[in-house]
Amino acid sequence: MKNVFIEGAITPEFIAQSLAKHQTKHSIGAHNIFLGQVRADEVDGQKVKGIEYTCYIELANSQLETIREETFQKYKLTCMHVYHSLGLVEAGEVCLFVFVSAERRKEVYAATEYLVNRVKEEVPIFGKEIFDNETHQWKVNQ
Amino acid sequence: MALIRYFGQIAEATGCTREKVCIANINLKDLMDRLNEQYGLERFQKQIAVNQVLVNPNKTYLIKDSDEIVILPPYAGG
Repeated sequence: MKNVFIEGAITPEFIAQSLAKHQTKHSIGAHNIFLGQVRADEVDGQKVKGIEYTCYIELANSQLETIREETFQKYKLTCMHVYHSLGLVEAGEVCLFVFVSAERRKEVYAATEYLVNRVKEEVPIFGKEIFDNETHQWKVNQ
Repeated sequence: MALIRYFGQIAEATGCTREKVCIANINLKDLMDRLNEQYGLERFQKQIAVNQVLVNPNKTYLIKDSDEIVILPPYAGG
């Protein structure tokens, strides 16, 4: 997968442009989108104001390539895109954008969940949750 | 000189994201024992990659001078 990582938040404009780019692909009958947004969790009276993401890019890219190939083998998709933020993303902003397209809708629901789960479990991305008072904790995926 | 890289909370514990060390011809397991002791890394769940491939840290692997060893905390994407 090319250019998965984006510095900072994934903007609504970027998402809209991605959708627009697919309007020339007339074999597509269904899109499905997952957007992960940074949540302002409260821990011991302190609110998360943002998450700073880092990743081990070399391994991340090879894992993403494997995930891409295996997703295409498992589901009949026309195309798929995954974007993830690096650096600081503030609460309320989007940090993960998964976009799946196929001829018909049934495939895209299952493929989206499969892709999101695999990205979260297998791609070496790390998140530092920064609180209002500038202290931090390390994000743990549930 | 082999290169060791650290990420996330493990980089925070070591105080650096990378270091070059003279560790050729020692076992990966011995290196991990040494790093656990030096930086108190035992308390972290972690995975190890050697030259961009995840490896079993308990398997015997003799580190070479040109190796890149990466120590990764649990993934937290999304």
